[in-house]
Amino acid sequence: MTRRPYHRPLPSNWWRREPRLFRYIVREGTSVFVGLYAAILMDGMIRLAQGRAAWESYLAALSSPWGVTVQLICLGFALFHTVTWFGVTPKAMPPLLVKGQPVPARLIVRGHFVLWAAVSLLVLLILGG
Amino acid sequence: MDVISTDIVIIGAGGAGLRAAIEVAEQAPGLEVALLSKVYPMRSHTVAAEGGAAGVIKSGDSFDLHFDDTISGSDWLADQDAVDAFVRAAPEELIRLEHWGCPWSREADGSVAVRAFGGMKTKRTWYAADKSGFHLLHTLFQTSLKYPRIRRFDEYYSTDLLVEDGRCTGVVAIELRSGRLVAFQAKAVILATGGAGRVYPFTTNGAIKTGDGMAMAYRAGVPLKDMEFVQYHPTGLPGTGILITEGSRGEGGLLRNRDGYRYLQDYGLGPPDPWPRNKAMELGPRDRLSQAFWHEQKKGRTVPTPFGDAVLLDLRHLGEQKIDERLPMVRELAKTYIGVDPVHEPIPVRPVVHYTMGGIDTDINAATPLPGLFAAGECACVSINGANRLGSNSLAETLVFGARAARSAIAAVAQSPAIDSRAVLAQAEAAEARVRALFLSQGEESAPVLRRALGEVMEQDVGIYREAESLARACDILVSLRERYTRVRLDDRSNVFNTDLVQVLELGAMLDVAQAMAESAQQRTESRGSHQRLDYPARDDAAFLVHSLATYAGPGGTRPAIGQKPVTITRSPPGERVYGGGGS
Amino acid sequence: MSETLTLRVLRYDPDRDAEPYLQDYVVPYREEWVVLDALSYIKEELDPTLAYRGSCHMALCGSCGMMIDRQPKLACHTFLRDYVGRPLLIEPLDHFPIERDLIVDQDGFLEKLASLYPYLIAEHERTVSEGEYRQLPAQLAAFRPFAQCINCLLCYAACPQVAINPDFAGPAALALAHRYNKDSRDAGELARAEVTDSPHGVWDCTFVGACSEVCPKQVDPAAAIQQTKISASFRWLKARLLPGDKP
Repeated sequence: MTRRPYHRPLPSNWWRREPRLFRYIVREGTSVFVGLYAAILMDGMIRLAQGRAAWESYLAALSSPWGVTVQLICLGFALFHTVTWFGVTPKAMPPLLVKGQPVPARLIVRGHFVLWAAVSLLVLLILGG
Repeated sequence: MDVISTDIVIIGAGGAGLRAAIEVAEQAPGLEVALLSKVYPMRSHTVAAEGGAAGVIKSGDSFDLHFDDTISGSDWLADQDAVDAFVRAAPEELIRLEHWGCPWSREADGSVAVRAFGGMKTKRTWYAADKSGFHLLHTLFQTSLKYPRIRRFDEYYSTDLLVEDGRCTGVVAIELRSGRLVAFQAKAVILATGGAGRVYPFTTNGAIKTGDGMAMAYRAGVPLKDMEFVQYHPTGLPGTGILITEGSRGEGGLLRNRDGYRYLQDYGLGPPDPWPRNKAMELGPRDRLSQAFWHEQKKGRTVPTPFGDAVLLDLRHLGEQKIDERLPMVRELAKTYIGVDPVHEPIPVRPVVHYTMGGIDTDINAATPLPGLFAAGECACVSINGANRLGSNSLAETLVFGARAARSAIAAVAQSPAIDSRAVLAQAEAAEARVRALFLSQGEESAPVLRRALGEVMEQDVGIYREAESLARACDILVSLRERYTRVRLDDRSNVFNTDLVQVLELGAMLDVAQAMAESAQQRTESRGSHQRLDYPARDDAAFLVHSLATYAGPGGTRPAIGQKPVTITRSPPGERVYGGGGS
Repeated sequence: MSETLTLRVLRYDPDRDAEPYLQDYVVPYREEWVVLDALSYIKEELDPTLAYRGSCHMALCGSCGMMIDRQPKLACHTFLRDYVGRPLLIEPLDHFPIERDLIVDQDGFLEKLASLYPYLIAEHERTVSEGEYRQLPAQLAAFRPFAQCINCLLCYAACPQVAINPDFAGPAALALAHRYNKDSRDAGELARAEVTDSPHGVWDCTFVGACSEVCPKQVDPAAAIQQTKISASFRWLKARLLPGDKP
């Protein structure tokens, strides 16, 4: 047999040499920061249960320059996650039909943003007020 | 050399080959099928057929009507018993395909939809948007995956049929990925290798359509029938030859010359209104439409383009919605390959070689004169298409005759004597030696040069209109090309995927097939269907209501013998082909 | 306006080469040429040993998939005019074993496809005399995009998971499984779940989405896979909540 199929291995920089794949890895990477923020919130709940002093020191830590920086980074990645996730939801759901016509993908995406904005507003009003 | 012993070998895995394989698997599950193809099955050229497949199902239609349309479309050269059997079997095959999942387009009530097609008085063309061949092929291929008894040998290029004691006993093929030759031994062989449009330089046909199976049968002593009949499809893109489906005319598209005039009315296909009207104007038969182009070009009324003269296919009046729904691929092809959006501009089109009506001589049961050898699809000539094929009959033909070939092959397996394996091996080794000779020779002729010369002579001298002087020249040139081919040079001497070897072998097949075409054309001194002669413009039923038979005379500077075979006439005596207003 | 263009083509002949290498060819520049035309020119005029696949020249047969400028594309559908000014890199499809030059081994895909029962599995046997199934245009529309796959395998070349998890069924095979699942005439979804719901079925997909981006026929295999994930999840839940239920 003279066949000798050649396998080109996946290069270790596979996700850096292609913009589409780089964005994908960043999107996946947001899970780290979303997870981190979830840990911060979890920590807050534990502190709350430990009493006023613990809670105050938790809030102080969050307000510190480090604390704000970390939260901003997490917010940035969480927003990126949300935007990219909303962008792909039309693919992740069975086709939506209204009166026999498929709803265009961009309307589904916009719908998600509208709903998000409404819920965020509601939360801000209830809790901020 | 390895010898693989099996029950039935099928060469070619397009519409006819796959249908045959499935038929064997379903009707004779105890038999094993070796399905050989020089390409993966989904690459077969069936994939490019666009318009649809004809079958009588709607009320208001009848087998007699389909029969009549096909016989007159064939200019009375089709064998009427075969056409009768064909039209009766076609609807069943199409329904069977639907049961296998083929996504035929539908009426609002969910029943299968049909559309108008050229040369047919009644709508009976089933279609799957404008990719009917694609859907048909993929449905067949995917269905074939149900049957483990169908052993596929993908990318095996068949070179020679094995014949022993006057029977076909198998085939030799090159396993392209390793370069080794393998012999397949079987009691029945079915050729389903497609047509030979690639002998012409401008064709809708893909690169693989080089007439390999026709040449193999021919060299094994089976005559090639009606080779002079080559169909030009009226609407191919200039330059690439990419097919723009007849369905675009079935949906109402118009053909205009440089003055915007619907010129077909000048050629017995009018009056232009009322439109649309079946069998008239743009829905006339393909041979008439292609011939009309030739005349318009002579009169200087065609539109010059960078790729030759063209006429204009106007779809603008259909509107964007209808085009996107019924002809989406046409829009995509026109935009991609010539930068024209048919919603806004007419598409430049011209006749290009599309289909080989002629082929391996087979009978109504897909049997060739060589016991044990069967053929179906475009490589075969039963004949149900005669001198001119109606659009949408050929997809149906692959199914009907693919199934028939299978049934005939199953019977042959039961009835055939045992095969002498040593004789098979000896023949196979001789075939192998001929291939190996290419690797050892110091040939001086370049295959691309010969191929270009072939294309030129066919285009110039064996085109839409022929005449004695140019045909004689073509025949002489082909003798010389075949003689030069005996000294052809193989440049690539490698083993793994040697595509130069494949192209050199394909060239050999094309030269043999082209010679059969030219010599048969020279002998037919009449005009009929797609074979039109400037020197013999009339149809001559007294002398030529016969099939031509080309018999191989050997390699090198030989010429085939051209004989004749009667046409089976049952209930439709030769009449005048009437299209246009008179045809209704 | 350039008169010529350089194609930098990956070459590999296992009989002679320990590994692939790149070879430059200078071809004439023609406005209307696609990469496949340039490869034909090379084979006819410059180097008859160049091996590649190609047939229909109209983006239907799926033969001519290759990496062009590091993107998976059909050579018959990629125009030279979009790449003037620099050498154009032509390589065989990523993530497949290279047999020779631009030709890759596609058998792996065919095995994966076959494992998904990519054919109509009907509830009851239907005879020809019963005629066709009724299928409304809306029902046809539900699966038609997924039926447009030409098996060109550009999606496999684009998908990093195909490279990272070689047993992953892959976009085209899963899209075809979905095509049949969504066909109103079919009843084989549970049979296909054997593979679709398995770890190397839809669950190897992490929704990179590159497959749908490179697909020349807008099949949208990413959508097919995500939709299958939803059905697979419900099947999983159902199996756990109602274990007595036979599927």
